[in-house]
Amino acid sequence: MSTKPAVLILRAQSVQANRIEPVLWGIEEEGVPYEIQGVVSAEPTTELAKKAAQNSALNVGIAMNEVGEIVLHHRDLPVGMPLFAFSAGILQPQQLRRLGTNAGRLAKGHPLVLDSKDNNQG
Amino acid sequence: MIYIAGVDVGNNTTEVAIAEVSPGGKSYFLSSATVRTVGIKGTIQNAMGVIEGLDTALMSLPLKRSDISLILLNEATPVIGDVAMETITETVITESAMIGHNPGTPGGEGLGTGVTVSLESLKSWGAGAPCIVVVPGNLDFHQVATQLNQASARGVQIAGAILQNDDGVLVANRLSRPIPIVDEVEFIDMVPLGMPAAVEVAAPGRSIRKLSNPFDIATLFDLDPEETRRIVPIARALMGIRSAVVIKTPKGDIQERSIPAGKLVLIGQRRRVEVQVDEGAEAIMVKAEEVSPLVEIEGEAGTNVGGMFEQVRQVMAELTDQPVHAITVRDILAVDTFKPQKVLGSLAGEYALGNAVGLAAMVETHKLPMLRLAAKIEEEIMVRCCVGGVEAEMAIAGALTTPGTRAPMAILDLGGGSTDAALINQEGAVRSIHLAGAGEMVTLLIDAELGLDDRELAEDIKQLPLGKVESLFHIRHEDGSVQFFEQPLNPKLFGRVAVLTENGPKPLETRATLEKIVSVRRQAKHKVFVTNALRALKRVAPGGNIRLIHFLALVGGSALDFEIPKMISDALFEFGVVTGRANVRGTEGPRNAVATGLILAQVERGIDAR
Repeated sequence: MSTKPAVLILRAQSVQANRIEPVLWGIEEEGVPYEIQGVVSAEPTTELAKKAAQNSALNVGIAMNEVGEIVLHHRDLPVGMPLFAFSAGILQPQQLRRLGTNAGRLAKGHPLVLDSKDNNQG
Repeated sequence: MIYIAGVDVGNNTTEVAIAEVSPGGKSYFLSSATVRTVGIKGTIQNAMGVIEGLDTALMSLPLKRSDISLILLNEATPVIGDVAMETITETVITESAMIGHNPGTPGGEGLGTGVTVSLESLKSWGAGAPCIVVVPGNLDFHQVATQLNQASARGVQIAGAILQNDDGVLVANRLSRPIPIVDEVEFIDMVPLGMPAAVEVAAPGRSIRKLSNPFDIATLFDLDPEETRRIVPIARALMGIRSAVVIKTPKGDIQERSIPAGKLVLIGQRRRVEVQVDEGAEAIMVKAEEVSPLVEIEGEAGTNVGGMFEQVRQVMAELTDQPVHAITVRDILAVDTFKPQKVLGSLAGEYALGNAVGLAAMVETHKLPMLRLAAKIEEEIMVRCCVGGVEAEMAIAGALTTPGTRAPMAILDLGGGSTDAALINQEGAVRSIHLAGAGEMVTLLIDAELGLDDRELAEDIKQLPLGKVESLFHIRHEDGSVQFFEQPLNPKLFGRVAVLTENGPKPLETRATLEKIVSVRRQAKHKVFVTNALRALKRVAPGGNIRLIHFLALVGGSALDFEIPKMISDALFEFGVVTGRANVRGTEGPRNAVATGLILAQVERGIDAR
């Protein structure tokens, strides 16, 4: 468990670092601190994201696997019901940035920015 | 044994009571029902609602329609109300000079003044005079920060920046020297260049101090007293927000413009006065009082108010088969209000509060064609149907079945279109009055003041308590209590203020805080219902003295509202009036007073159903 108040991001070490950058910008613009850790794990992204949320002092976690699949999770949500989950490949930088924005807003308790294209599995 | 039914067709609901009358002339109420009124009150279409109501009431009884000997209809009071709003001021900016918006996340902090310059021409900008950099949305924040840092390194004094993108924090975090940054400025290419400007960003939780004060703006831009007077609307529009930009343009002009709202002609029995709508609600109500009792009101053609008067007349004329000119407006309620309006010529969709006057009118005519409705019902279900009595008298008779009441007593019927009051004295004589302004006007005020442009949503806000969705699993109600949910709430609701409807929370898209919405809602109810309660009771009270009314029972739909009865009760407390929601027959609450009264009156007259 991290003690700093931050959104915890777990990134598969093999994924290119710049793929997750727009997410970080989204969080930063919201003025919310984040912490990013590289991991080697065979776990499904959803479970990894849930783990990140559990270890975040802000209760918000993000995980990106080696193919770029990305999940935003909250500590209080059941593992199988992440807030947002995007499969790899189809993602525009704006969508990633919005995911970051929403991670920040989730931590702050501010209304989320939603788009009809978002695949909400919550 | 004889069974009779009392039916009250109201604007919104149709209420039914069924009673058994013994040969000795005693009545026993068996059941009651409330259904939605079909069609406009007083029209033939109502028959469907009446029959549905009867069937609903019969459902719990071992009776058929044909067992009913007599259906009694209320002689509905032929009044309808309507509402309109007239805006009387608006803010116009020619040659855009202000960006006073509240992006969620501006960058940096503090106040910066300088001349506006585009990011592109920053390269050729020399050291010396401070500048405010204007950045279009096609650049990413890395490039913006790099270019600003390079210019800074050359000795250019950058005092602040205006961004089109939502990148304020990102840019600010990457600068070698911190500056205030206002972002999300939609019409960035309309920002005039080469002009003196000021950018102010307050710390989180604070609001700007300089740009919301006319004298500070005068100090920053070296304005003369006349110019200072003209920028007051800007300063006012910028109060209470976290970030803003003000630009001084040579020809720029900001006006708080008065819109000609037209005049009203109030015609009393003896006098006739004209009043300009833009003089405000108070002036209108004072004038209306002067000429009281009102016989007719005319609105100026071509204005919203004039249009509204025409509209109510038209509806009433069609309803009663009378010529339009035979319909007269009998009462008016004017209320001062605000309406957030897009500032004309703004750069980021800013709003300024314009003054407005809300008006409700009530028209009255001769009888509504209830006899036609009675004939129609008789024809449809083969049960004798007749018009039983005057609405106000029936309502009082019904309300008097409330335990703990006795004459002299007043009732206040808080409806949708009009507020009605009636008083019965010890001798049993009834006086009644109908006033303009009721539930629909409250809805209009809420809609306007919150800038919703959605009557249905305003209606929900009026009727239901609010809550704030604080997490994915809990809502904090407006009274501070917290409700938890087992299933996560929809992400659409997260962080939002929501109306708590039967079908779950409904999010509000507005950025207004819960406290603000609650205050608008309560004020709207107060302005209409408390004002009208006092107005109405004064008219029916003996000698106009409310103290002489001992009991006041609230009836009608709005009596079920979760806060209106308390407001009225508070207002009447000082007069020593026992005020409460009616409890008709000790079981029905504020509903069913008229339907009950119809049956009681019939029994008193002697029941001879054949």
